[in-house]
Amino acid sequence: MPLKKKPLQIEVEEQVDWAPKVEEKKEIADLRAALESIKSREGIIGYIIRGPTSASVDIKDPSKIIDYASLSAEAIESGENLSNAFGLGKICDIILEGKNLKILSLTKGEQQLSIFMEKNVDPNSICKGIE
Amino acid sequence: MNEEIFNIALRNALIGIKNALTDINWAFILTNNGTVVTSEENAVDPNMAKAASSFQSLAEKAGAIGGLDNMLITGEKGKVYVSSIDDFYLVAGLAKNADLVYFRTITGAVLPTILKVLDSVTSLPLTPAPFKPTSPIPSPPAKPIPSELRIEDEEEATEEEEYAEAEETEEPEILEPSKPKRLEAHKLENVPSQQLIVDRFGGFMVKADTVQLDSDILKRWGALLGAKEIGEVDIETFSGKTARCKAKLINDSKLEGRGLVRIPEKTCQLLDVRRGELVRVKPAMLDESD
Repeated sequence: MPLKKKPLQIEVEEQVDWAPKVEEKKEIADLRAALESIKSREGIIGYIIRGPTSASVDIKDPSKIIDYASLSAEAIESGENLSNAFGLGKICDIILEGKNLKILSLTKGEQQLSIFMEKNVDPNSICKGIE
Repeated sequence: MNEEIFNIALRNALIGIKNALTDINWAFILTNNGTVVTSEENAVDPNMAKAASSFQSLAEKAGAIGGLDNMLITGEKGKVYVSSIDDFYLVAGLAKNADLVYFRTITGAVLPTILKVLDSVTSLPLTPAPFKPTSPIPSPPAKPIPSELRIEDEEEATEEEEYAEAEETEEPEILEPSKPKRLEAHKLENVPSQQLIVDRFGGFMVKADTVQLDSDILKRWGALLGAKEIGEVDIETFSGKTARCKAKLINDSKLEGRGLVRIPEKTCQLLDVRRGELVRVKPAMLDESD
């Protein structure tokens, strides 16, 4: 007697208004995975992700977290102001270069990312890693 | 050269750069405190003011990464590139596909050169004798001056001879009504010299003969000498070089109370001191005496 195949069950998560969307969850998870991969590269100092309700920080030197967080937030705000003032449209990315290190800031969905790296790292390669 | 002419020179430089680089839509220059120094003709003024105020707080916070070198904002319709040049920031709006390498090469070579030239031109009439070898104080220097340095000092004195002589012989008479009163030698000897940390500062309108000190130090000296104000101070480096400079209060509140003496870049060069080094500072002259 041939075995009866069990029908394949596909679980579909029911989406409700009050819960975060499944797609968004996946997007964030993918983003974190990408950032973890980027962080393992040489010259990457760490990253900050800011969402509408939460933030996540992973920076090698904990004593710098506040300074870096404050600077990256200011960079994003300043970039938005400049973009509004001069009609640049939606910001793709902001690269801030200091005397000691670089910061790449960009927005993915609702998440604002800032990646901190040493001067010799090419931020464009990081951008590609996230896209 | 006054500030207006200086701004015109910078503006012309920007127009020249824009003509050479067709990717530039607009450009202007900001000081590090957010003031718009000059503008290229097509830039929109209210937007520049907004950008300046927004950029100011960013530049302040960039201390966390050793100070701001440059910033590139890439938008859907174009780019804004901000680069630090000496004490200034060049802010330029670029086409979306602008050749950044070429832009950086041109601006990185041309603007610093222009600023250097303007700086040298500006400093001449403003500071005819910024650096006078000391001193009317009768006490001998704490350390013997090495022969090499003596030669340097003599050369400097010779170079500035024309200016210095003119000032020393003519100015006191012109300033007769408010002529500063020189302190008596014994009074000055009683005031211990203060060891302070050098902080360099620069800018086009900075007078090379004026240093900045903490108000506490000036007040303490004033109290010791029974004077309302300390008009001039003598600075002595540990290599034996000395200079007499006018004394003013530190104008940056963040730098107050840190035991700093802020010395203009040119005077630092003449004294051969770097930021962070210690120098001895002592009052030399009073503006008023009780």
